[in-house]
Amino acid sequence: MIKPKLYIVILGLLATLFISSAWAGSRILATSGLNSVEGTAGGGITPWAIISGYSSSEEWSATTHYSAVRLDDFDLGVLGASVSYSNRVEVSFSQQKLDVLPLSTSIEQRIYSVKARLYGDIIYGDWPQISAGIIHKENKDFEVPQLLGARNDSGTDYYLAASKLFLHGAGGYNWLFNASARYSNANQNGLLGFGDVSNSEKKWLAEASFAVLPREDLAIGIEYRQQPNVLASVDEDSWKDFFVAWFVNKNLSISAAYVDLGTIAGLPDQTGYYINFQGYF
Amino acid sequence: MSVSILKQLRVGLLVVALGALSSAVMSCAYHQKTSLYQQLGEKEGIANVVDNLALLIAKDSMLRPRFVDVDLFLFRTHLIEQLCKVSNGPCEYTGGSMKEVHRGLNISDAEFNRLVTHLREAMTKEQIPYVAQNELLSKLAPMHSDVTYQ
Repeated sequence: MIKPKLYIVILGLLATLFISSAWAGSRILATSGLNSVEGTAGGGITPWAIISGYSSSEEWSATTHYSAVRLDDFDLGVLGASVSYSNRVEVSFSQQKLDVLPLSTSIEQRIYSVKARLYGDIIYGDWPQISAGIIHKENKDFEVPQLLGARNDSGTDYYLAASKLFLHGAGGYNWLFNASARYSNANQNGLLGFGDVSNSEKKWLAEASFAVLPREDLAIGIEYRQQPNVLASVDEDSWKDFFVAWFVNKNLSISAAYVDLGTIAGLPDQTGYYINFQGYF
Repeated sequence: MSVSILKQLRVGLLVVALGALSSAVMSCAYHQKTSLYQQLGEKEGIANVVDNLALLIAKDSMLRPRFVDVDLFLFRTHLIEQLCKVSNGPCEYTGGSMKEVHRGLNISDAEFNRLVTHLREAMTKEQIPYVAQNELLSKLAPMHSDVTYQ
């Protein structure tokens, strides 16, 4: 299912290397961030207030990305694309495929999301950029989540995010801070369904990240993401990562991270790595 | 058990590494004694940056039309004075306020961002250190609200 699409993404990314002057939008290098495993612009695992791609006023921008997470007992592959207009609104679609290695099975999920910038600019002005977003997820392989006691095979998250880049901060470098509040009942990002049979209430969850840019094209940082932990049968831990993102040019970024996702579906200490290849047009 | 200890060790190492990184970054700043004006290469360096910038603007199809009716000699003089002044150099800025000189032009965010991108490149061409570039940009960024959509 995912394989042929992967080739298309890789071809697209390679094409951008040869068309270095391809249109991407007027925003400053690296202010695009990445598109996360949920498809929204942000880091690798958290949505930020930034709008995807490089679209500035009255400009269009698009992105495609492929992310992979390799853990001890799970492999996650994500293919996604997004479109943004005028640094104001972003729409994204992504498809996740989680291989559960001990069970030799996989769980697929489709994610649709929209985000709007409500206030401010990440660089200019004294206050952070504020955005609000909606992420709708449809789990396509509900057998395993159902066995674990999940209530629904689809769900919708709502979030509010604030992001601010401090120019010439500590050490003379530019520092990026993000914080968001998410209202969700998605178990392990929805891959284990939504809510518990006995309780489908959503919870407010905290997410935060910060990064330093040692060069204009390089960001090094950490991310933290709380999880609802509502499934009665298995524990769920917060997600954490330590990442390096290289913005090769306005058309390509390559990122890697060390991730610690804690216990997933009863399997403890799920650590590993994340990679992301992303094209911007 | 041993797995969780190993994990704590890994997290510990990460914290130590981040601490070392940030302290290295801090001490670097501490030993930096030359002023921004000096790091920009004083008047000559600033003039070169402005000339590099003018070339990049001339190549930019979105910005070029904005300068058709501009007295380029006066623009160059004023911009050199302004960059000299904001970097605490020995200059007086003889141009108008940012609000005044951009009134009625309706400069967009896209145009502003492009100018910032070109200024970064113009400074890199002049081999101005990255941290000094950040400092100059941090002094110009607050002008955004007076320049755009006037």
